[in-house]
Amino acid sequence: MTTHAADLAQLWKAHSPRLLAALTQRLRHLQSAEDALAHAFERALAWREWPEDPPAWLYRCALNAAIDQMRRGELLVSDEAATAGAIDDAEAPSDQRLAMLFLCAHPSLSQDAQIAMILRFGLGLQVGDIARWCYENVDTVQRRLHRAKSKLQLAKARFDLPAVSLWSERLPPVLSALEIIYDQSYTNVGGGFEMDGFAREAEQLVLHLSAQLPNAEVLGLAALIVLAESRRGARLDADGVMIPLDQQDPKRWDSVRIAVAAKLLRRAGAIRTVGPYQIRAMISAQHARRMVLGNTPWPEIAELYRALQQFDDSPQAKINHVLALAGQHGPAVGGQHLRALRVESPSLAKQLPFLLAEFALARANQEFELAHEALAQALQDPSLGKAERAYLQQQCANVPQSLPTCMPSNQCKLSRRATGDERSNGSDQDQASVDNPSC
Amino acid sequence: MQYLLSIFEDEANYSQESAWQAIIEAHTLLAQQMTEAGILRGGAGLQSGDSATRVVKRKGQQSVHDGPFIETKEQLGGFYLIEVADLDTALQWAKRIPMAADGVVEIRPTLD
Repeated sequence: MTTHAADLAQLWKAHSPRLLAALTQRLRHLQSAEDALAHAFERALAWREWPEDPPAWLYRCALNAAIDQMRRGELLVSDEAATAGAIDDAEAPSDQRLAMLFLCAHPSLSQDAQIAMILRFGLGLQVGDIARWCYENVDTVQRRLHRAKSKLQLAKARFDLPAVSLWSERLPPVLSALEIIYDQSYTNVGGGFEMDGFAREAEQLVLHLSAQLPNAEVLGLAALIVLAESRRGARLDADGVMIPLDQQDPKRWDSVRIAVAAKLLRRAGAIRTVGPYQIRAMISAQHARRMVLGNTPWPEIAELYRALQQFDDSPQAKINHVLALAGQHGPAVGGQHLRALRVESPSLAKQLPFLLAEFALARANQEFELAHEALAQALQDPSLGKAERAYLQQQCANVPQSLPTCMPSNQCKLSRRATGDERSNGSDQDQASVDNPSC
Repeated sequence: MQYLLSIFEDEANYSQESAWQAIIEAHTLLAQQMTEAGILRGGAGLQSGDSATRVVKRKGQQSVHDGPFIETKEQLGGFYLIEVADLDTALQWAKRIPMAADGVVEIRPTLD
């Protein structure tokens, strides 16, 4: 890619969701807005010199193209679209973004379509990435988006920002899509895939949403995402290898974001309804307390994971609960719980979260053979992010092949380094090793 | 834009005379509200599915059959044709359609 094309790609990433939202509001036609914006970016390839305000240039260029097309009769849009104007001549850009999110979350669409639409048009993701993250093939997602777009158009869905009273029925897919971004920004951390921008987009949007709609779950998700962002600078070492949450340097955490999240959680708490996002954010906030306490408050975290089970029966939630218990009572107890989980659902034992937990606990318990076995299986999982994979490979070299006959006690510190990041449940999976096993 | 709101319900829900009277009253009220809002363009309740006859064309041949198009528990029982600004408004009206028990309202825009 030439530098110019690369700069344009950057511009696309930073501004296309906002531009598309504004154009869609103006044209009342998703496909035309999409085509017009693509046309404007094509024209931008010919820039010899960048305009003073590139997004404004793109908006005008796109709008003019759509209007030309309309005058030629190739495009049927409303009359109000026919007068070109400045980009922010109507609503605030953030409200246009919300209008787009809620349009994509239109109740007349299936849930799969809603989420794909939000990721594509609300957040600006590529179809290929959506397919990968939703475990679908590209054609399926493409068809789903096409059908959803034409349905909204044919059935004439309302494009304006809906009244606040109508927001709650459209919230679940919006929150799910934001959560997908949040999850992926973890998996892909340092993965050679530019997720930072999307994660910050998600953060901004959820904060805007929570400011306008004080709903406990929106506030909870906002706190969860803000806390995740507070650790962005501490998550990788100089070589791009993942640093698990309990080994991150709290001095590298963003204390301003941690304070913002605490405030969001206080507001959520005052609403007096409890939901899964709120609990997960509380867990994440407990981890942040290490900054002040000097150690992680495992009993509180274990208790919160227990409360989370009521809303979330996913394997990840169960496993994180076990790891929190290991943090509280030691890896031997954790190992017992994990074995019980394996008996309870044998299929779970083949999944990545289980393997990572098994690795961490086995190593902490000095069951090195088991640790290596779990690690080898985990490394075969294609969904591992690059930084996490690098971390696990590093661990592979660090774990003894078998228990040496005589091991000096400081060797046990090795077991403090365990695996895991914070994705999916806002917590880490590395708690296994808090108590040093006796040698 | 005009939308057809088709109502699908189990006819057995209205086998009791009192249930039948109640739903007729509720529909009369809704139709009145739609008229007041200036959106009602047409509509009717239908006789039971037993009264339906189908004309079927297959491979160029026409034939006439007894019974409704789809043999399911929930049958087309009536429809409204309304003219409103957008799907969202049509949805709001569709949600107000009375039903004694389970049922479905399909919302379809008409061709211009």
